[in-house]
Amino acid sequence: MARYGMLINTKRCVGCFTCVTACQSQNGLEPEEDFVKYSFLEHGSYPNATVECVPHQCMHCADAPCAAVCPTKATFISDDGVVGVDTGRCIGCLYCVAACPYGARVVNEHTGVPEKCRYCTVSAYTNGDPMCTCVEACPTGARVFGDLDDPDCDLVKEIAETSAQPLLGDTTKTSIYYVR
Amino acid sequence: MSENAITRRGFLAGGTGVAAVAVTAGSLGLSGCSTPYSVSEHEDDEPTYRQASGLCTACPRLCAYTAYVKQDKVAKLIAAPGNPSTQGKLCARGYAFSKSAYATDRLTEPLRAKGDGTFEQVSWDTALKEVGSKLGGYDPDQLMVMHSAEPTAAFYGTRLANALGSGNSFGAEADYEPSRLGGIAQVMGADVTGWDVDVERCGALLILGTPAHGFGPAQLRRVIKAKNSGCQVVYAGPVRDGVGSHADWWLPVMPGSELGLLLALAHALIEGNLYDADFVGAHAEGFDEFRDAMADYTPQWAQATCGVDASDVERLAQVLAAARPACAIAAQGGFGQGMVASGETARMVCAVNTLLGVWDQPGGAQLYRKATPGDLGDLALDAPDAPTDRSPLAPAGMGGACATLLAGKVKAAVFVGCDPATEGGSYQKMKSAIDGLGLSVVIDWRMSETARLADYVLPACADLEFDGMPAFYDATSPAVAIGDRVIDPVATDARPVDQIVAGIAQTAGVVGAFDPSLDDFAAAELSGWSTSLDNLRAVGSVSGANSGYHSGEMPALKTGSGKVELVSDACADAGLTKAPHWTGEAIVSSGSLCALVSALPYQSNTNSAAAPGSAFLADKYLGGRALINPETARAFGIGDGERVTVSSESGSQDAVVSLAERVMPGVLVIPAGFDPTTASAGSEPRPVAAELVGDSLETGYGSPVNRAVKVTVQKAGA
Repeated sequence: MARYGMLINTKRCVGCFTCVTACQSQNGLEPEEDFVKYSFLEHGSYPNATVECVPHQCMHCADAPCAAVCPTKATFISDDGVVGVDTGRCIGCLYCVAACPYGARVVNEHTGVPEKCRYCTVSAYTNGDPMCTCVEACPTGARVFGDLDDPDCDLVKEIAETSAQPLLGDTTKTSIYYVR
Repeated sequence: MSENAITRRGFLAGGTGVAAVAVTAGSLGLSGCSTPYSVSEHEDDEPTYRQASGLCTACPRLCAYTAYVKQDKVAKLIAAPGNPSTQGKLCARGYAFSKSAYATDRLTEPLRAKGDGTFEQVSWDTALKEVGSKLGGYDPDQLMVMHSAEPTAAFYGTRLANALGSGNSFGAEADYEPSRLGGIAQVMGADVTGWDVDVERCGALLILGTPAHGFGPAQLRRVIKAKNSGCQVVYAGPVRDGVGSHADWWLPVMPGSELGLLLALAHALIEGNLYDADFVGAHAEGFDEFRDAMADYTPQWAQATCGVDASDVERLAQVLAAARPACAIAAQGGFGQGMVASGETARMVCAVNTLLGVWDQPGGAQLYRKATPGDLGDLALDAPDAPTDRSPLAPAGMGGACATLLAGKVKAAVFVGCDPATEGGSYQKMKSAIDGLGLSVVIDWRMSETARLADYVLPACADLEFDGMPAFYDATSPAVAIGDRVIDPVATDARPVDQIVAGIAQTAGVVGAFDPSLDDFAAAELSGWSTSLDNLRAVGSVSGANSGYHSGEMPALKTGSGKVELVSDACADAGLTKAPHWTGEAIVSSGSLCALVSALPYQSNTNSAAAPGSAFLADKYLGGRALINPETARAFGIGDGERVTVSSESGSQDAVVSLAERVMPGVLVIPAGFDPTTASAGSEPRPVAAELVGDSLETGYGSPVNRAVKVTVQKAGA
């Protein structure tokens, strides 16, 4: 069984918003539903200043707080590490919104369900399906997707080579690693 | 705490002083879209898509893609792999704009102005009859058509003008391109419209500024690929973000002062004997005169005149020379667009690339070859005389729209898919000019600012709702692409441009010119290309044979001498000088700032800004903020997040500033793409660039100087 994860390299990210909008196209989202969000951090002072764009989304945590607090098990952690949302079970209590340390949830204004990144790119990764996921659409190759339990995959090698780290420490055991 | 740290508070309240991120979704007060296009891969057990070819018209790059449609709703988009504009990727504008068909505020019915600032709905029959009969009543030299870069608008707009006996047909995007393309053409010949860089083998890449439409997907990819291949990337421009934030070296340059940097760079290369004398000797004309003209442009001169550091110029010369010929100044930069000396800057870019001997060399610049439409043959119309408002240095068929409008030379105008009121320079001057017309007609998918001023507004199909004419791409491997009608018009009474124009022509009394169908015209344009119309519609984008590109061989150029021409008689005749001289204005004086109009990643003009997805991002990420260097802000007594009034000779705009260390002192970055209506639709005031820029046109080349303007800033209410 795979354990899916991702690497985001902010040294390649140019803050182009392609992943934000491509995700919306791929997943049929409304314009106001953004699963991918950006934080911009400026480093240094002029003239030695630059700006870092840090894209973030659901971290598909192995110890997901949203799953822990969900009263109906609408949020669940699947065997392959993808944190899923069973919209049929959701009662719209928004506990998951409060619990997520990464602000990943976006409330669907039509259904009331707090939705998030679905790791939809698994289909592109496993089947080669043509998709415009955040990973596939990124023009600069800032994102790598793969199986964290497969030592031969590009993701695992890149995490090792770059010493990529979770964004906010490891308390929730995220599956997204960052190069910064 | 490490400067890299993002705290939870940081997530919620925004990053350190930069574009604060509002985390709560769904609370932005946008009308947004209705659900029609919400399609999820997970909704069906067996999702079935049909595929069709799309052409993005958000910006003039016309990226080609395959649209996947399910239940008549546009879902995912896959960029055409070999298309020169995409190189296999799309951008944020493209994904957002693919859903412009579903915008709730798009035009739905033909409209006629009532004269009191409001419109009334009329039927298509009424609209076409009135527009056609009125238009037909004007003498040919009194009417004009201005069209977007979208090939159907371009073809049918031009044909309408010509069919009415008028040569006054103008491409809107071509209005600022005359400088860049004209400057390039003076040096390299009219067939060269740009170049790629052999990034995998390039040793040093210089990028100047930011293009008017931002960096397209292919360009973003190229720069990062260059870095990953070990190329040193130097970014010379006023703001270090986006692509520039990854440059190895940021060389701050005031907007419009790239010319000064290049003059001094040429001087340093020549005086230091760092240039490729063999290449120049073999492939260029006019070197002696050019060298003499560069004599006074020392690095010290550059420092005194345009603020560029003298030692930076020397170092840059060394870096490029050490790498040559595996180096280049990129074609996709901000040079040659909307500045007071844009055309001459373009000339110097080509001159410096020539000094470095990079053309068609391994690791250097790979010249575009022209993509030429097939001959229309019997379908062609006699072209009336070209308008005399085109500037002498503008390439054939380009420029003159703004000059014609502003001079009040025409009495009737049809605008097809373009928005000159906010894109053509000073909004107030354009408004006056359009108000002064006896007849103004807008054909567009949205109520642009130009449409608000028009007598008739005719609703056109949005992207993916119409079969289009082919688009041609100059490239190292020239290509052709096309957009299909993939969905029925969501606004059911919107019509394709070709039908609207044919309807107008008929009631204007034109006979025959629009009898052939769009398919007939498209097929004729594809003659000579290795694809039929049906095949192109199916596959979307086709590259021609790699026509003549051989690495290491310089092609014959379409100049008088067949070689690179470092000096130009035509430039001298047009009021400039044979060799480029410093004609810029370094807008650096105490008490004033240089306002730079800059594209955002999700909107580069009012057209792309109108996609609901783009408008959402502009609101959430405070894209309407004006960016200013903190030290400069202190000097003006302004703090982060404060409301200010920005004033120029043309007008004033309120804005909210964000402090940014990545902006060089003396510069105020104004976002592109807001018009008077959208500017006030956000949660805080957003400046309309068109209210600040002037109406001057560049000497010789004729492009509007609409991307940089001198401004003063003070706290609002002060």
